[in-house]
Amino acid sequence: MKHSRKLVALAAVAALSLTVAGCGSSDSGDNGKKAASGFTAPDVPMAKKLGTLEGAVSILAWPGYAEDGSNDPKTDWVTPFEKDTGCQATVKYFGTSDEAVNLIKTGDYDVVSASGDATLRLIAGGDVAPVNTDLLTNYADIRSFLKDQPYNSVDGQMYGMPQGWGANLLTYNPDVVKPAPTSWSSVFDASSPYAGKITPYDSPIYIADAALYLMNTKPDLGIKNPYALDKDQLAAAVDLLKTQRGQVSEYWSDYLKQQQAFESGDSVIGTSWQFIVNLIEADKKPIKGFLPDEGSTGWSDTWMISSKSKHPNCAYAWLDYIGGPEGNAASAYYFGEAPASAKACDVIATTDKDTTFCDVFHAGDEAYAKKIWYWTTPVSACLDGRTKVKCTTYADWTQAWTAIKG
Amino acid sequence: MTRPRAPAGRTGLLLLPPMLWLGVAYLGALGALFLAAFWSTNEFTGDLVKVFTLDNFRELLQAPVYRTITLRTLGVAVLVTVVDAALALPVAFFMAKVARPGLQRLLVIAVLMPLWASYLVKAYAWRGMLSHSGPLSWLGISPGYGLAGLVLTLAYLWLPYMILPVYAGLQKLPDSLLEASADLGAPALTTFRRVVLPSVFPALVAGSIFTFSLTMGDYIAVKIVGGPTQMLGNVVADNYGVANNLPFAAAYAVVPVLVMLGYLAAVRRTGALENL
Amino acid sequence: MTISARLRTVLAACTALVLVIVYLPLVLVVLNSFNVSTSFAWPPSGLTLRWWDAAAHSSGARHALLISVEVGLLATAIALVLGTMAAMALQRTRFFGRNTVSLLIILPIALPGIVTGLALNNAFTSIFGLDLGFFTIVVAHATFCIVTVFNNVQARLRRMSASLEEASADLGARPFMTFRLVTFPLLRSALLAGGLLSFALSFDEIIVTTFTAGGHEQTLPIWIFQNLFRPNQTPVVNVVAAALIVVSAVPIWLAQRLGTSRSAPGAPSGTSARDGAGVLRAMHDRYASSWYNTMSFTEIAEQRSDSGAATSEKWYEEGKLPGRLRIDVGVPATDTVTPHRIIICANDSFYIKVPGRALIERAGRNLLLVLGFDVYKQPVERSVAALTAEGFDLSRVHDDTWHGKPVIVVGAAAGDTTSKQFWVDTQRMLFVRLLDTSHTLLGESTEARFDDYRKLGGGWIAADVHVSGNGIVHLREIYSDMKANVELPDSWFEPGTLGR
Repeated sequence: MKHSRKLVALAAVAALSLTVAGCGSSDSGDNGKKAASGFTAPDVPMAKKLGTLEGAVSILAWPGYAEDGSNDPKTDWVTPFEKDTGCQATVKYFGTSDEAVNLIKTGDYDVVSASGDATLRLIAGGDVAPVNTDLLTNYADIRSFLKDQPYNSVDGQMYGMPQGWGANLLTYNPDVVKPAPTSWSSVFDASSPYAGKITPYDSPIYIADAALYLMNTKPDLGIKNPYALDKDQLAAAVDLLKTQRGQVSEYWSDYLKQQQAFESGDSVIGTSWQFIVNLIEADKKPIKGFLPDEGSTGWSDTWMISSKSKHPNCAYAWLDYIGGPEGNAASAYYFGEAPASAKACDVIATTDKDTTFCDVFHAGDEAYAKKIWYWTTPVSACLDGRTKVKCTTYADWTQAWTAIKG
Repeated sequence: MTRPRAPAGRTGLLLLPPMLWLGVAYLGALGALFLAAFWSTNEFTGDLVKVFTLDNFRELLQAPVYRTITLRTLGVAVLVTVVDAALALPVAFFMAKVARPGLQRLLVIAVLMPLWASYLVKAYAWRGMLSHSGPLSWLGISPGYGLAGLVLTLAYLWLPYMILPVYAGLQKLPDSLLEASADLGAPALTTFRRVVLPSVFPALVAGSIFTFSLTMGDYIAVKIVGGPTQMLGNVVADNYGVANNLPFAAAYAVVPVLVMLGYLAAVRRTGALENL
Repeated sequence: MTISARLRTVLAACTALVLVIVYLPLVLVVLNSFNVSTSFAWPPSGLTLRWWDAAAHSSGARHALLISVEVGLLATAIALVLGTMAAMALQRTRFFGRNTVSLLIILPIALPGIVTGLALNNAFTSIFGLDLGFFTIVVAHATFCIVTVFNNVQARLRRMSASLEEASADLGARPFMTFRLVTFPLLRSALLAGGLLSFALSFDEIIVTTFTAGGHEQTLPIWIFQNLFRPNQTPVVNVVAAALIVVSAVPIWLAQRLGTSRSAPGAPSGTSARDGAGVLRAMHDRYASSWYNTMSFTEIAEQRSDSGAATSEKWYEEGKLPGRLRIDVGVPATDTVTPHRIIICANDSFYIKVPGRALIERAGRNLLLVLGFDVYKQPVERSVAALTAEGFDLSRVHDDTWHGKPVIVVGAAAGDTTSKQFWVDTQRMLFVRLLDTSHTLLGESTEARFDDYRKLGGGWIAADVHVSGNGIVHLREIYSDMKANVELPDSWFEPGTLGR
């Protein structure tokens, strides 16, 4: 236990360096490298060269990241991959990072799109293998501020192919929610006019959303980083969420359930993703999603390869494809996030005929990217740098989450 | 009364394969699970730490939320059982005592057929009915997803499991008893209370074993129609499948096992187990 | 009947209401399988057969269906073997751990599915290091299916007389041969009922399956679960569900036919409701619409007393069913001149007129009349009431054989030959034997037998009747000139016409 706490502390310091250093190029990783040098990831072998493709690959993905036509026959970038490489893909969706960690441990999957609150846990657990970026032809085009980050690399060793990043959106039904909301207060209001129809995300990581709200509305609580909460700050966030619980229609982790709830009117406001908003719009139902000015939590996702992968060569092929201009453009455009590949924006502008997409999502704007509070695993060594107090861990958050739902 | 004693060797041989399967494999699996309840997981990596600790049980007993959830689950189970018993009795009585043989057979088929409709589809159909834009909203009733909807749905799902044992039990009740009671001048309600109910009680208990057990462990229907409600099954399923905390899931799983074992022991005397 | 008409209507209304509630969501499901819109919009915006077409072409659904059927068959097969073995072991012996074993068998189905699933998953992956897949699903399903077979077989074994197996062993058959040729044929319907229920349980199971299937195998419920919320697939799921409901009528109807008057084989129990009332009901239902209403026949009645003295008489008998019988000794009833003995059975009493003596009236039912004739022509409740009043314990029923044919014995458990009981041939549902140590029936009799059944009218009549006790045949009747549905005046059965 002590040993892992040390790991965790060092990993935390590494994450700290990201927010403090404020500089994104991989070379500024001087800070990052040094801080990360104490983190000893388990010894998982890395592929030295590519061999023959195995003919199959098992993909564990956030819904919307690997569409194979089963949701909508016109949305399919998996089949072109299969045709090119001969790797037949089976795609499994998961609803939360916890589920992803759990599923990868079974060893049944080859690749996973992991958010920042899953990546370090996977690395520390030996569940993912270091990625040889020399074997990925499209890695060079990945935006520099996404490479060698504390959440996707250790000791200068990359563990995956960045996919993209985005924010959790405040989503609402414009026919019911009037006037249009402008702030997260609409879902945290103790006596909301939409009581009984609010839908928050069903994961302990949502506590960070409450903490972010408190950060803006109750500065005397002293919250500087929504993932660095000491016992009192956590208690305040829990109280806020318990109040919200009384007005919740459903907590969602299955995107389809949320889509159905919005369409049937059982939920009218809550946290959602652009991709779900797109789906509801496609069904011609009223919906709007946006990022409030006060900011939001979000995620920066990396495709990782399982250490138990049975099809490592097809796995590399997938990473290269999904990080390449066509794959990245298709998935980022469909999902509604900033693509990691710099070339993707050109593809979106020409193929999808959308020249404003990358601007809207601030695809190349490093400074903007830093404003989003990406999902990170809370650890006891406070991520905001405080040394005098112990911060609550993800295990504490998990227990608190059960208590919140009641 | 003569009952032949089969040679002990033969009995042993006959019993061996089932006992190996159930006794060793199943009981062994249960034992391994409860052994895991005394372990923990590494918070960060999620790997099992096979070091003896009582932390899981301590957490269960201290954090009030688990008591709340357990009581809520028990309450729902009791409610569902009562609703099902109230619905099953008149139907089973009609089937066993009033209906003609041809109608009786049809009714049995009618009660059995919904068992073949997928449990998931039925729950989802109820989700549609409870929705604010569903058919029930026409009638002005739209409870939405929550505890009330959950009780309704579960009672609906388990109803056949209650009707069938009660029907079987009522068939065994001789008509002459009812006649005799009427001859002695008892009104229908008294006959019901003092003749029918006591004799059909074991069958009711048998049905309740099913409704209890199925409700205690359900986590899927809860997710579909329960809204933000948490039941015991959800905590176990989430701790295992999402939080990757097998030891805690195992620890909490001890609760429904104890409840059912206790229930089975209590009802053994009523003879309900013969009626299963 | 105690159940007033009003109560009947109330009960019928309750039943109808409950059935409506039960089927309403299912109707919605079927309706939605034709719904044009993909969300649960109400009312449906239009109807289409598109989804049925899509379902027929859905390879995912077909594959999942195939897996479910395979798993169900395999698990049922295992459950049949193990359940039967356990039931047989427990039935024939009393031993120390009997109750524990019973409890153990019930446990997989009494404990919540999530506990079973979690435990098995943990065992498979951590302890045995197996890959979750088809094999693990089958193992899990078989485990909770054993109990359904066990219950059914145990209930049937309880009613079977062990003397058959004893006899087979005495004849030198080894245990397996005895099982194959004697026990198994008698168990067949119990096995079928248990097997059907086991298959149904396995087919719709989702919770334990989720924990033991791993990521690759999909049974039908798992496929449904994964497609339930997908907007494009929900209607297909509805189609699959609707098809399942309709198709399920077949095995259920089949199971009902097997049970006939016995139990509800689809019930989670194996214990049937079969008891004396059920047997009488079965007899009644078999011939109610066809059995003759009146009969007449002539017989030679040989009577022998305990001392050995024998007499032989010619009896002319007529019967108007239910409940009325007339015997004219020596001359037919049409002869109103010659004085002769007349016996009338009516109103649950005997009326005996001997010439020159006062009319003797004795309360008492003619059990042979009730069991051989009235049961087919009067409401079952009356037969039940009559026999119960006569002291038959209708709750005790067991199987046996008589003259090599299978019979049901009502009123006694296997091996008991002293309690009041009657024996019924199961192939033709005809009364064949009565054991009665208490009732005075033309003397101190203990056994009556109806043999040599002949077809008569729409029913049967036994042309050879023995009544015996203490090893002596006190009465032997041989019938001839049997007629059915003849016109018989009511006055022949009125005791008042016998004079005083």
